[in-house]
Amino acid sequence: MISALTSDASPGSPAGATRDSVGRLRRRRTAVMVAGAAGLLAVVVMVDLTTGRGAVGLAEIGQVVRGEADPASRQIVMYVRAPRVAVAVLAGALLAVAGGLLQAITRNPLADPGLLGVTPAAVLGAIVALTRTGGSAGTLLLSVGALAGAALGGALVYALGWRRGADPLRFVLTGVIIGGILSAMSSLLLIRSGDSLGAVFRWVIGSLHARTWTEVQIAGAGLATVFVGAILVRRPATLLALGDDVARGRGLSVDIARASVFAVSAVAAAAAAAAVGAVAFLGLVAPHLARRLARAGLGWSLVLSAFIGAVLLVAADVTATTLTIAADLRGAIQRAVVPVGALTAGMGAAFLLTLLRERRQ
Amino acid sequence: MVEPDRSDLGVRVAGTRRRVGWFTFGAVVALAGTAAFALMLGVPRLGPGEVVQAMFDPDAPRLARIGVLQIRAPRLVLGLVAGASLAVAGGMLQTGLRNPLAGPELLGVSAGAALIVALVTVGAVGVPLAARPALAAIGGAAMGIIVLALARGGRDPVRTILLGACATALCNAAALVVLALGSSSDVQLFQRFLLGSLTNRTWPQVTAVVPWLVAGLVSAAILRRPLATLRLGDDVAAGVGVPVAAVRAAAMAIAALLTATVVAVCGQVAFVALLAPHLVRATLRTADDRLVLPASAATGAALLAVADLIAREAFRPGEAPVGALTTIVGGAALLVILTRVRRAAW
Repeated sequence: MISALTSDASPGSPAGATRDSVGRLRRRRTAVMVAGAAGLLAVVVMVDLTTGRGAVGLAEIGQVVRGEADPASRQIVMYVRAPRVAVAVLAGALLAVAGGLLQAITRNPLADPGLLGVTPAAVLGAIVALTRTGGSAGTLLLSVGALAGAALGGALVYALGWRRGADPLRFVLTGVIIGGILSAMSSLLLIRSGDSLGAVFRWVIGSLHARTWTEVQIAGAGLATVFVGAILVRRPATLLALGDDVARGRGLSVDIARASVFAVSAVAAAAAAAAVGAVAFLGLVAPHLARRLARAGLGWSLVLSAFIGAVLLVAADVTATTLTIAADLRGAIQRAVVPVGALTAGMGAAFLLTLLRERRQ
Repeated sequence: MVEPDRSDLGVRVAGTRRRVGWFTFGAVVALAGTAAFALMLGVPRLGPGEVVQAMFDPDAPRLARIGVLQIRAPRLVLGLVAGASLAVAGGMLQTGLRNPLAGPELLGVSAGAALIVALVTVGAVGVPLAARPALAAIGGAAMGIIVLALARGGRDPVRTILLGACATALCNAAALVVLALGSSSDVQLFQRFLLGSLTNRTWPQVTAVVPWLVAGLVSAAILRRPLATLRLGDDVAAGVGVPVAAVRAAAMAIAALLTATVVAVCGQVAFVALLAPHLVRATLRTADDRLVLPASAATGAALLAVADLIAREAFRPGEAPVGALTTIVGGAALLVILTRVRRAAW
């Protein structure tokens, strides 16, 4: 698993020609997989754009793009569906990258910003920013709150859970417990401020309902920052995944490197949390699938898992929206909204169960 | 047995007896104090005399009478009985599985029970209130068995909790979808099934669950002797004639029943079950379940009643779900226990 992160074949190595050709095969496989994931993403994005309340299908979306649509369809596409889908794509990619980087520096395939308490901490930070300002926190304040929360929460889990040579399961467990405490605090704050179930869903469970271009901005700015950051920390992260001793041997100052990789991961988790709330387990599942599909270096592995994360979150949104509409048709009195976070949590928990079982055997 | 052991044993027993004496005294004071404050505080705030008058004098002010008898008393009774039940369930699981981190909230039992209750409530299935605990117990027990089967009997505490956390996440996700589809956007429901709350519980709910809880507590009391023997190890217990497998199964069944019954009306109040037996073992400095289980019952009752009092009074206007408070405090305590478990090198 870890070796998958570090299999950059170096042509100058003694193994020579065979390794080179293996490397070329792997690179080709990676390219195919990335292209495939991107194609799949385009498909699920189109499906998601055509899913929702109101009869807006592919034809209407085409009209909106050409600027010939009637105002109602335009309104639905531009202010309901497009922001929702865009947030789903961006947040899915962010969570996947956050998870991939965390897995590299903790050398722990179970690391995930949600499981390790980073996402719940970011959500708590965002909610504190919101409630302090009486619900009028702007984009910037919300992002800063989420970022501060993610940094503090991550540092707390790291300090309590990580000892040299500690059991990875125990590390995760510390994160799970701290995450539980933090999300109980979030629920408490939200319920205290008299918010509806929608607000609890939006933050504590994670939801894509009623997203606006504001959240797209937050997630977009986050992804741009993370993209640059990930390129900068790619080498130290690769070395850290090999082990502290190896990294030190290659002249890396381990603590600073780990802190900077963690910072990039925290930015990713915080931006995702500010945009969609505490969507669980995506950061665990996406990098894992990416490693199974292709044995690439950390950089391409992250790119592939970003696409997979986006596909997963958009697909989960299609399912959640379809379920919501089905419930509406059945004649529900109040408008119910299935939070997308419940679906990713279910998917991720099932995945983690199988993972734990496999590792046992 | 052997002569020199006796004096040593005598000293230890005397020490334990003294601690038990102090513990009993403390528990009585804590429970009485909690009960008194639970009946006095709130709107309207009443003095001790007014509470007694409201309880026994039919001519007392109507508001006080309704406040004490119809609102505060049922909630207090439910808090006490539910706390005691959870604590006993936790103690039995910890001994039965020989895992210091066993607790119904960590084994998926609470979440399994909550999922069944959510399905029954939202689906408007015609199940009477009094029968729901039994259904919930089936869900809870099933989830617990699945988690334990995956975790090879639950001896490895860390792996067991992680698997339990996954199962809990799965059940809660399903419960959320059920709630959202059930057309109600009520925060109350969310608190009731996922966070745990005692808000607005009145006599019908109390009378629906108290028989189940009393039955569970009585069976636990009967089982505590053979259960205490399990702590010595399966071989020793079998050697003195205890049917090990049957006792273990019975302990888990009782724990599931107690937990599920509480979940059916209060939701998943976390960490009382896990924490109370640990507090007792640390205070009494014994792991003998003949002492630990009853003492845990008292501790759990006091813990939940106090937590509910805080949830009720400290957040005016409005209330906090008590489950959020127990999660915050209990989670911190769990972290401490976890570091100790590491030191004890399981």
